[in-house]
Amino acid sequence: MGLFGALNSSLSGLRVTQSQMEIVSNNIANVDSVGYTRRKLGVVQNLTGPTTSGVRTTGVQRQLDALLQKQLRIETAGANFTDVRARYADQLDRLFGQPGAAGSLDTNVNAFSSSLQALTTNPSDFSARSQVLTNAQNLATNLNNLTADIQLMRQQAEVEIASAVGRANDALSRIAEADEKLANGTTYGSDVTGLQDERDGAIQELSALIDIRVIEQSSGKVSIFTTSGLQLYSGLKSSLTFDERAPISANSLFTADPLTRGVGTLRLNGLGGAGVDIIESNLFRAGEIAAHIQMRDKTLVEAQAQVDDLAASLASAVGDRNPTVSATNGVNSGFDISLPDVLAPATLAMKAGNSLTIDVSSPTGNRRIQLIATDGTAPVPLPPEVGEAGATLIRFDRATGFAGLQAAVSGALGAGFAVTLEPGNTLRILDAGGGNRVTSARAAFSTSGLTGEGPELPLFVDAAAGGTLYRGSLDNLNPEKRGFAGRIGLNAAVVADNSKLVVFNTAPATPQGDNTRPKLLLERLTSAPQAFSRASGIGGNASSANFSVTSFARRIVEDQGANAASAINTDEGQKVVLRSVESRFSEISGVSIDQEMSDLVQIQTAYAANARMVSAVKDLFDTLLRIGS
Amino acid sequence: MPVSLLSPGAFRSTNSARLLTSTRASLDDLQRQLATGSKSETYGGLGSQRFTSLDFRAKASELRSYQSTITQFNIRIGQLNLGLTRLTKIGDDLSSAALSTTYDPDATGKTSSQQFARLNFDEAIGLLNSEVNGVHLYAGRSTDVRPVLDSATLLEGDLAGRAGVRQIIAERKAADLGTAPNVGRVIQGGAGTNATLAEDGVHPFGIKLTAAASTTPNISATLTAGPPANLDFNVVANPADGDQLRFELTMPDGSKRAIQIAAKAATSVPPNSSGEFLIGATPAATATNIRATIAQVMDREATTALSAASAKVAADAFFAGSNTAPPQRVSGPPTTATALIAGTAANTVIWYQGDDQAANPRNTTQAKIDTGQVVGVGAQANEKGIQRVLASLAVYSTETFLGGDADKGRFQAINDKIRSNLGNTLGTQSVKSILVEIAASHTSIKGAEERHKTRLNFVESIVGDVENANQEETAAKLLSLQTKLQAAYQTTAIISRLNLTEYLR
Repeated sequence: MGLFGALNSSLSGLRVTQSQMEIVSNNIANVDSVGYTRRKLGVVQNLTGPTTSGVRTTGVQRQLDALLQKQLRIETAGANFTDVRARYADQLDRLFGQPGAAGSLDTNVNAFSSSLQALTTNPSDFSARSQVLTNAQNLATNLNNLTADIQLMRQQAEVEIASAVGRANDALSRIAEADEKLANGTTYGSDVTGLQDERDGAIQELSALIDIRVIEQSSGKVSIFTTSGLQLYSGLKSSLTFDERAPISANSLFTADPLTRGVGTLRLNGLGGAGVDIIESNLFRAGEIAAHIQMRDKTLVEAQAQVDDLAASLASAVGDRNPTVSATNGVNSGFDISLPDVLAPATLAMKAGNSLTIDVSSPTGNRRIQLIATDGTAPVPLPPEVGEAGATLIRFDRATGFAGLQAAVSGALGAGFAVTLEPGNTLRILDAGGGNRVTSARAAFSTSGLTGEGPELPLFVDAAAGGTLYRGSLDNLNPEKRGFAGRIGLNAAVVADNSKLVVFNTAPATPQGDNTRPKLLLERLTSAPQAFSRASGIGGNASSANFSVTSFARRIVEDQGANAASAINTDEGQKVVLRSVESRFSEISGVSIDQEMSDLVQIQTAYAANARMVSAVKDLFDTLLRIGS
Repeated sequence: MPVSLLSPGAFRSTNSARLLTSTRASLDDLQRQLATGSKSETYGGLGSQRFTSLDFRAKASELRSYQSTITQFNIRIGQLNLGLTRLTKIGDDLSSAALSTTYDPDATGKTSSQQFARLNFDEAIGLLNSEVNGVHLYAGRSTDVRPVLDSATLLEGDLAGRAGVRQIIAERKAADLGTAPNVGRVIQGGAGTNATLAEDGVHPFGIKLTAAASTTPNISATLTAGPPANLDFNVVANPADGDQLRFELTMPDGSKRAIQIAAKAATSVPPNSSGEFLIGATPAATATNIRATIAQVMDREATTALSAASAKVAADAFFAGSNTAPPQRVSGPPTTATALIAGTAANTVIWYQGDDQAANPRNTTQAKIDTGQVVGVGAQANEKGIQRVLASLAVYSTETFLGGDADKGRFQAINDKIRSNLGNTLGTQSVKSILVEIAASHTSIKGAEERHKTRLNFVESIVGDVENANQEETAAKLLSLQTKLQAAYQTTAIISRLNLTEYLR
């Protein structure tokens, strides 16, 4: 160990400090870079045999906690999911208007019932009549707008899915590229931290879109799975495809069948799971894409179902006649239900979409049976969501007439109950005995005209279909109710002649001051309980039949408000979690300028000391050389 | 705001910036609350109380619509009250005019009280046609229809040949009177010892014979009820002075006239005054005298009581008519008519054009003034009480009287008829009873009005509590947040300078 040894040591020190300088300068330069983790140079003594001779570097290391990184990915997916959900829920909540503001749904509903109340007081007043029509039109327009906005949001979700898929594919290809280079770099032992950061950044980006699990293999390569187990990347490049659809309407729904599917679906190309319908199998559960899918196929569809339910109940509450249901006299108790058409007594009054509901109690429990009339093309079996809460749905083909109805009711009730067709086309249902009895029966048949059928009035019609009357028919490809809120409008015949709000008979003519019809309309809207389908998800199964139309409207607003509040709360909670993980991650992996500065001072000092060392050795050599001269 | 991807090195500064922006956002929101006074722009933002807001808003809207109903009905009730009070007064005036005995027919044959009644008739018709905001108050549910025709048409008929009340009365009078000498559609007859009266057929017209009696066994009184009824006085032997024959005449309106004729000795002075007959030499001579006296009595009754009764019956029938039940009038030539027939819209003035189908006129206009509370304030011009007033006025104003004493008896008979017609009759509606019913509704409405005022205050205060931002609280929050934010800005500024780079020179 001599001067040369010292010189070598000092030179190695200078080399190491230069490398350290390079790292520090990189750290400082990248202080704001996305995904950049702090680098540190490993420095160890250089051993020559048993003795230390200078210093050497062991390579650049990233300051990284792998567990935290995993957590970060999961929480990023979660936060993006809740964030998108909160944004949509907030928008949806805003659609229903500011509390008490002129355009909000509940204000429109209240104004409509107030004007009806005014009409019952003053039925012959022209301005009271036109006020009812104005307010009804406002309500219908509000429902139209709500539908348009909800469908616009679904369209937005569709577009967002497409854009997110694009970003996901970009991330996947960057991962594949970085992974490839990394494999090579690791083999040759060069500094690969940059590539690693690049790959991790891409993975991080992917985790914002899709909930993923990353498994690092010993080769340095990674495999990426969704949390549901679908492999997205494993050394081989794969990509997602999305067949974006436009325009999206209330009838564009997701189904597994490509022929009936009205919206796009996701598929994976290039790996084992190729061709799998990701949406159908529900393979994405968090992240931005999953949130958009949930909005498009569930939340917004449900919101649409709610406004459709409101529109449909609005139309049928004021437009449906309830046939006479009377208790039978005699030993056996039961009900007589009058079924003939008012206008054509030999014809069945039930139109396609009309229903007959019978409640049966028995010692083993209560049943509700709902017969829904069809013109023969309704789906078999009827989809459960079209029926009343808790009802067993029976499909009844109108072509079979009175006899067919009798057979259908008899079959639905089961043995013991006597179902007969009495004179005047009245259906009689008698109790079966032994505690098996019919507790109530009710039906709703659509009216077809403005006068001559009773005080009910088909005020709301399907304006988009040219003013056809709404009956809730299930016979077409799309049930009549779906998207009805977007098509609802006022009956043009009533708008043309607003006296029809009062006059329900022409011979003898209803007096202009008769409030029978306005009173019925008001009562049907504000106090008569309506049966709402299960699709809207309001009120649960048991109690959903107990709402009046106006209070159902309020429940919708309240439901969306609650959804928005809870989505925003969840999102805030999720963001707090994400921030805390990010904070811990940053403590370890983040560049701290202070740290770098003090390192810099240290490195400078070390460099100066090493340089001083070299100069000292040089002095010694000079001294030695002078001795010789 | 989408979630941004992490740059670990900048986390601290971005995070503090994020905190500052979110604090700033809540500051802005508080400022909005202070400016607009409302807590939130959406129902979602109202928190768990959005239920309250929605439900109580609906309740408030309901209460306000009740209030506007009540305001409208108060106007209507005020009008009804004025009108009905005036109608009552008109009826009372007529009643007291009928009490007076001033008989002063002018050249047109009208007394001063009749002329007054004619003016009141016009006023009554005007009242019945009154409307509020285009709604006719006395038309039942046909609020768009002017319920009553004008008074001239009612009284005189129109150019299209529709009969007015004057013609209806005249026809009825003629039908009830028949032809002389058999006035009142009663045939006067008898020969020898008999004096008889016989109704001339089975029909609703004229005088009906309903009772007969004699105070002496010397003259038998026999009434065969029929119909047609006939009456036979048979003088078996001459009666004593002062013996009486009695019989009862029933007028078309059901009023009864008890007639007494007394036997008078031939020596009495003055002989054979009204309502008396002279005892003749033989029973047959006495019977002849009885026949003459009965003829006098029948003449007198036919021109007074019968005439008044005919007018009342005809006017009542006229005012009972409506479009669905036209008035009953005489069928065929009046003097020989045997039946009534419903008039038609083509030949008879239908005075009331409004709605007549409701069981209770009060229910033709109903106000829902609270959940489950409905009051009726409808009225129809053809309600019984109003009909009675109008019929009396019509009878009174259409009669004409000759000067002198010739028609004084008829004038008295008419006055009596009017008084009994307008007097309070148990079980018959009067204008006052309509007023009382309206007043009862008014009381309910008043009660509801007070209730709604209190409840609306309460409901609105609840909505306010939920939706409105408390100014003081918001201002205080704003102030504390402002302080916090200022402190945070300063601290951030200080910390950002607290950097090793700053100190390395």
